[in-house]
Amino acid sequence: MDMRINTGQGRCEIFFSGKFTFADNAAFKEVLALVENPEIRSFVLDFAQVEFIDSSVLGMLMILRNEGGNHGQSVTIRGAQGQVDKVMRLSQFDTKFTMI
Amino acid sequence: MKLAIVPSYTGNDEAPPALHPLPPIGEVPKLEQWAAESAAYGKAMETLCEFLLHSAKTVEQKSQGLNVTFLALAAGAKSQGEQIQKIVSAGSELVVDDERFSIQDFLNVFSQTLTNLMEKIVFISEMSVRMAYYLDEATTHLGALESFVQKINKINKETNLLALNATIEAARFGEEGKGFGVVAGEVKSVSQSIQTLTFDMNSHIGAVASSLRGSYEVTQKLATTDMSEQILARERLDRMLLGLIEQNRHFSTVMQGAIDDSNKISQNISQAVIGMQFQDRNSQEIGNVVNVLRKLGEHLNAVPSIEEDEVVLRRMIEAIGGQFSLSELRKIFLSKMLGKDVAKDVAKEEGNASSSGAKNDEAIELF
Repeated sequence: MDMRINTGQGRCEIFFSGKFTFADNAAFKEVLALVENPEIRSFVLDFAQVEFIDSSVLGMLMILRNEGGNHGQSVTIRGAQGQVDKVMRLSQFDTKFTMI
Repeated sequence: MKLAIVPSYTGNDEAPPALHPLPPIGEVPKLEQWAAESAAYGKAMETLCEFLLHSAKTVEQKSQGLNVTFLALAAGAKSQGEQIQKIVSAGSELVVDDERFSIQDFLNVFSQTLTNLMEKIVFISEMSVRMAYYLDEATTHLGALESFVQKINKINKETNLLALNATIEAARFGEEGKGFGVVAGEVKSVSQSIQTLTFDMNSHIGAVASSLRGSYEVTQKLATTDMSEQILARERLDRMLLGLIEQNRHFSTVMQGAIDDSNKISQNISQAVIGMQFQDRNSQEIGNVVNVLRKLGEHLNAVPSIEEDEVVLRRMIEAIGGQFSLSELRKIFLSKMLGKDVAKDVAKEEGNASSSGAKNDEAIELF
């Protein structure tokens, strides 16, 4: 997958695109590292351009949520559609994250 | 006195002839004629009454037969309703290990189990990714360790070389260099200890590296196992389950309709049984009529006959018989009135009549 990061006014927006699988876990580590930045108060993860996720991505997002929670940061998932939206909703991500 | 002679009934399907031809205008039938004819009817009356009573009896017997059949039908309809009720009960409930579950219970257990499974899948995913990250870190640090051990080795080799040089220098200085030589020897021995240590460290690091590689391969396998398809299967299962519930509800509705129909059948049968009770009244009414007819018969028999001509009487009886369109009934009437042999002769005469007429007779009887 491809990743584009925008940070500003305490909000960190990350745009993902393509197929998102375990192979991308190293790239995701960059996002996790941003948790340590005290200026960031919220994360918005944009999945509008993501066509497929595997179950390991669910794990990655949970790590971000838990680590972010430890630092008082919120995580929002935006624009999930198709297979991505189905997998997230069947895993009850709508109760764990703000999904818009 | 001349009595009208009446031809025997020929068996064709025209209306039976009158007992005597219509009198021409002006002629009045004689009282004696009328009396003789009345006597014939009087004699026939008892037989006619027997026929009536026999009909009533037949109706009574057939009604009883029908009653028995209706009761069996009613029992059948009731049993059918009960069987259907059993099916409805069985269809809406499961019994597992002496516990009763409704379809709704099943749905709840199933749904909850799937939700728990999803949670565990997400949890396992999170843990396997965390593990992958930790192993990455460990591998990096291990790399650093390996390079440190190499550096120690290198430094140690240099130390060893220095000790060697020192020993050589010390030897050059002879007696004054002895102390220096001893120190050089100690340094060499320390260096050898360090070399043994680094050798052991290396082998342990090698073992750790090997375990780490193994763990990393396992973690890779775990983390790359994609369970998104299983997660999506949940959606299909949910839809199938809802379909099952809908089908069950529909099934119950249809079954209830069948039970209602069974009940209606039972009610209709009860109505029919009540309706059959007419036959009792029928018997009574016929009995009443027969009583009056018998009186009529007595009345007609009381007329004294001026002549009791056997032949004339026979012909009159035959004429009355001719009014029966059912040949079976006619035969029985004639045999009662005239005796069996005489009736046979009459039948023979009728047999000489046209065959098509006889056939029409049978057609009526079959009906």
